Amino acid sequence: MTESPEERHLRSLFRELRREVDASVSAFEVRATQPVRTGHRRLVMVTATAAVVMAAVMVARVVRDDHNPEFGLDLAATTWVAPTDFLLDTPGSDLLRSLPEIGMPAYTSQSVTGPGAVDTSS
Amino acid sequence: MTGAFTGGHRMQQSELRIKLEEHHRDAFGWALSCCGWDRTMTEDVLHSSYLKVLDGRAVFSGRSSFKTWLFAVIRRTASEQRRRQMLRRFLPVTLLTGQKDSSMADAESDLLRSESSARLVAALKVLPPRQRELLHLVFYQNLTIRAAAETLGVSLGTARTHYERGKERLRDLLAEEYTK
Repeated sequence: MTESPEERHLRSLFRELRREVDASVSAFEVRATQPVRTGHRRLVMVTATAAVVMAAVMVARVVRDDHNPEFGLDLAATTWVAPTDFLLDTPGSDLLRSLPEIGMPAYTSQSVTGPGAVDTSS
Repeated sequence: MTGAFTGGHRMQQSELRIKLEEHHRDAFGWALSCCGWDRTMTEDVLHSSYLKVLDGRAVFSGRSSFKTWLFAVIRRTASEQRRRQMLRRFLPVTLLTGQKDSSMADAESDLLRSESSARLVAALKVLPPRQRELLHLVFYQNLTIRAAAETLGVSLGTARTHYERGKERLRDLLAEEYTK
């Protein structure tokens, strides 16, 4: 394949660059391989394995807790009361939940909670 | 001892050593290009690559020429080194280990004496990595585009495209430099 003048120019530039680099190439030398630190590597492996096992145990515990009613709340057996429920408790609302006895004044709270009162709230 | 396969036989460490020595100059130039002309990093990368070859972490299967394979090993090692340097830049590893990053200071001035070479290197640094690598392999290492494509692990068509674009861009950059 014939080269264009542009390619020849580039080749000459690279040739000059190579000449300069070759003049300062460091000598071929491969230092002995550093001894593999098996003890250190083993320690790292053991630590990593222990960390993985611990993480797995933690995850397993969290997952088990989520599914085990002993560790959580049984939502079916509980009732939730809103903290603002008392606002719905208007003055005299107990009169609406009880049937007054005939002959007894209806405006006393005792009549409402007295032994004869019939609680209609439930 | 560990080695590499070539032509059906396993290369001994002594054979590998001879081969490495034979290609040392080429490998140095290629490592320089892969390391952005940082001499300290180049020497580290070259040494790590040679160790990989000699202790069998990189195995020559004989599917390509030894030089092509060695260049691919150097390129991969340089990219690993760059990633490590990036990590060091973001994490205060140097504070813990007391090691310093290799510096670019005076690295080029050691190597390049002529103005034209300095200009060429400055222009090459601006090019995208693939174009830079391809031009280096073709013009500096005198490889064919096919061999360069093999070294970079790209198709011949892709290599040709990078070669043409790189040449064009390099011409423009050098022209800009001359007009400055």
